[in-house]
Amino acid sequence: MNENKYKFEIINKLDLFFCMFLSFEFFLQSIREILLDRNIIFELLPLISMLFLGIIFSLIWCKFFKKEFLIIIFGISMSFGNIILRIPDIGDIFYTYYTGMYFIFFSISPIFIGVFGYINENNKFGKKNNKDNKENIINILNNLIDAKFLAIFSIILAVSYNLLFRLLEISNDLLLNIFLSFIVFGFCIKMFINIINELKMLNTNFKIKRNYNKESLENLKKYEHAGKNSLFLLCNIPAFIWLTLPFSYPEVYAYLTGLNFGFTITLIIIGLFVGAIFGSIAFRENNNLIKKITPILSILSLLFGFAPFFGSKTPILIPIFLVAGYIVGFTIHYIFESFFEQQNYDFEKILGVFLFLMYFCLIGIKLITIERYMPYLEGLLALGFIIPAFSFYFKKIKEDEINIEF
Amino acid sequence: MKLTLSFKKSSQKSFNSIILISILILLPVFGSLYKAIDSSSHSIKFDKKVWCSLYTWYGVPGQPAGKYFYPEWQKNASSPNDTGFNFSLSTMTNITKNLIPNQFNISGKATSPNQSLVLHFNYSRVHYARMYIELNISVNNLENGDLKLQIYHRKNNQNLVCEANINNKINQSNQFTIVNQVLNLYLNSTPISYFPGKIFVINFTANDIGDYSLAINYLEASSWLHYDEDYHTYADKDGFWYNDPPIHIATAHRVYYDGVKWPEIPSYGFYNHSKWNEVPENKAIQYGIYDSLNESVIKAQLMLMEKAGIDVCQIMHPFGIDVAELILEVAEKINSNLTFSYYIGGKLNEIADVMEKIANNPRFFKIDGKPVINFGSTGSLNEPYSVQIQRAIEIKKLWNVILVGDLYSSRYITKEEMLNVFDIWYYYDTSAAYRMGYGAPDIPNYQPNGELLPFNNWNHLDQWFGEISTLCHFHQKGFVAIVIPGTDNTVVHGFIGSPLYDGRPGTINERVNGLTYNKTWLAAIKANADFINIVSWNELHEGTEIEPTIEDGVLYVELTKYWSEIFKNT
Repeated sequence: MNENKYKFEIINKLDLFFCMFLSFEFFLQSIREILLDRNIIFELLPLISMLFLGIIFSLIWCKFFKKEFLIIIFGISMSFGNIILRIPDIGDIFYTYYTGMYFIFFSISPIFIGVFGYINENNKFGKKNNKDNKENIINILNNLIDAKFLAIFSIILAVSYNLLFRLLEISNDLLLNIFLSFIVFGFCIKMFINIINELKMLNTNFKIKRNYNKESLENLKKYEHAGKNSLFLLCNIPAFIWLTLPFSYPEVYAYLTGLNFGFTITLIIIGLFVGAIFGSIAFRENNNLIKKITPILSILSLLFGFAPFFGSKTPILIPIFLVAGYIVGFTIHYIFESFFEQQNYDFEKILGVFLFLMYFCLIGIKLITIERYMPYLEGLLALGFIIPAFSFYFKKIKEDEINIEF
Repeated sequence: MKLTLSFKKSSQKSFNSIILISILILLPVFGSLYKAIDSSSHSIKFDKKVWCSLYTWYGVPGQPAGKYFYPEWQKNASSPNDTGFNFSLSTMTNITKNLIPNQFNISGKATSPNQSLVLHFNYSRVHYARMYIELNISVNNLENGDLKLQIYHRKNNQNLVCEANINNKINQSNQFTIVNQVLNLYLNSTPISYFPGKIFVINFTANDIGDYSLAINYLEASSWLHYDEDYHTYADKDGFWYNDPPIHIATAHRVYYDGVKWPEIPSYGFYNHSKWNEVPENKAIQYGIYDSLNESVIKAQLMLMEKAGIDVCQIMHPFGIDVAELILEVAEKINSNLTFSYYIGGKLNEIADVMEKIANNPRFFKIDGKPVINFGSTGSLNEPYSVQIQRAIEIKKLWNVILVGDLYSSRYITKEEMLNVFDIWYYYDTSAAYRMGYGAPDIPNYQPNGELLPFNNWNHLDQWFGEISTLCHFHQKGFVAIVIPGTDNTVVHGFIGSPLYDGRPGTINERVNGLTYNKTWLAAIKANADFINIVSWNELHEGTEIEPTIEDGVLYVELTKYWSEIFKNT
């Protein structure tokens, strides 16, 4: 049996998926808990520091220890933080609020780096171009839904669920949060038991074995691709900023279209899912239609940024929102997939830089916009989606040319 | 054979994963769709009403806002020992004290000049506020020289707060009486550092040798207690009190409107925004502000509100429930058609008072028979949502009320999860929308540093209201749009770099002769608001008042009448 396949039997891809999905949902919700005010920045500084410290901590951890433990430890700490954040304080000093926030803000980066790093390290299947698999839908889906897909998709799913919980007015529900936190906790414990058994079997410990075998040296050679791939990954930042808001302010867009809030959310969620699935199909199946329409749609999605100028209650904005959701989902998938494909040796470090820049941009944008209304900001962010969409288009054309030569 | 089996198992496992993932995907899609359809089929309709915020913080000694009369000794003391005074630092000799009904007598002998009669007075009930002291004294034996009066508000003669010379030489047979001399004793709101002993000191110093005797006929201390929404008060080093209405705004005390002379709004008199013993030179300022609890004032206010098309008078967190009771009493006397709601600062004891004492009044604003309570977040801006929501849940459990929630706490993040608890929602700070640039290019606004805001031309104020309106209506709740005529709170919060800067920069949304007011109304109507709340009728110290003033006359009353008709008919 393939060694990597074996590793994924130890840690099920669904374990990772649920950890990432729910942790990101907790993180999105905790961002909504933050009290933003002009003069509250000093109270927020420790929280912001936690975000950045989390990155540094996880990078140091990855240097010496196995990433699996990073996911387990911080998965547990995330679920703990999420529970205590929901418990209201009594008195004027908000102990549980800040403790919960510290736990969540510190844990999100290690989980992100842990999950993505682990998948990058162990998933060696790469692209699937096997035409036989196209024969039935189950096989196609089977090809699509692998650990990489699940990890990337968990982010989009987290955003969707965050919006759904808002709609159902259950985001702050204590019981629901305890339940979800226990799911994360349960998966972490499951992973822990599996790994401990495995370590006992192999008679090893949780430290990284530094044996520069052939495979590792091969990976080192791929270092030259780091620059190119980092750029791709960093291009993802606008998409993440849109999502972590989450997806900007859907209520404004609901007002602008004249639709009710729920329909707007449905449109955005459908757009995101379709985009994510198409992104994955386009990357793996080399689909001509997708590669042609995506750059055009990415330009259309620019209009999303100009939605405030269309005037209120304009139904023409509905397809534009759908397209914007599509492009965000597509871009996230495309960039991470192409990044996973290279299996970069410095993946965690680049992820660290990515997270650093994302937090930096996110906080920066918040601080800039806290006292300023900038309706063109979404347009500027949307510009960031055009680069990967076009890059995808040209890359595929190039690949097609190579294929023709063959 | 083994290989085939393993393939089947793997295929089955993948199939299960696919099913699971599909369910996870479909759940938010169908969930949101279901909720969307569900909310469309149960749209809720409120009767459109115009609310207006009435502030009751302006007061004068004798009739102070909130009636914090102090001390009680004058009325209740049965023996000289109960007066609360002591003479431990007096340097005069032969000091005697005597309590006769309604009078406190002290006498002493100055054997050398500058000897003092010192009265230490403990107070405990008055806290973080400006305190007005009305001292009425009779002085005998002034033929021996002037008597210097000094008042301190700390132990050991620190922090001199006022000083006066009683220098009239008078006939020994007549008493010299300082009647209604108002001493404004400003105390900072920070309770610990500014209230070490809760003691103030009245110090009478003799200029010459001789016998002195004084009779304190009454001493009343009353507070102009500013609600702690501004975190602290602003008595600066120079002793000026900065939380007063701006000097350039003066309430019109005699209002002629619609061919009718409205009830008079009596002024304080020599109220001058500064030290107690200065008389302002500007005549307009002498009109000053009024006493919020003066019945004539309340009568005029209610009548003008009704005339302006206002339906609900929102009483803004007064000092006590007695203020609201008084207003309701006046409303009954004049048979006003107004209804009243009550704005609490999120405190349970306040709402308990409201429910017990005034909620059953037929003039109290009710929706579906339930009293409407405004649950404000001012003063608790740093509270996490969980804390605020918990308190609101507690209120809902205890009382059957319509709770109007303030989005103010969730600044810049619309936290519609709160709609689970609140029935009606609003965002109190429309001035922030202008400050952030949602307004129109012809309405100047300023940045925190006091410079003109460059991004000011989006004309998107309806989006500000619209997003909240969309959320409220989706969750089957009502939406109140807050309309403002303009704002100028720079007498409370200065711009960055100014002496009054306190971490919260000031806001100026210029009025532009009513343009700001008109545009705000338009945006609120466009955003499909269920209710409109005018901020404010008389919050003069933040410059949002629409009541008649010397500057603007009855312009805003007239505009309110015009817009409220349009709003109710759309």
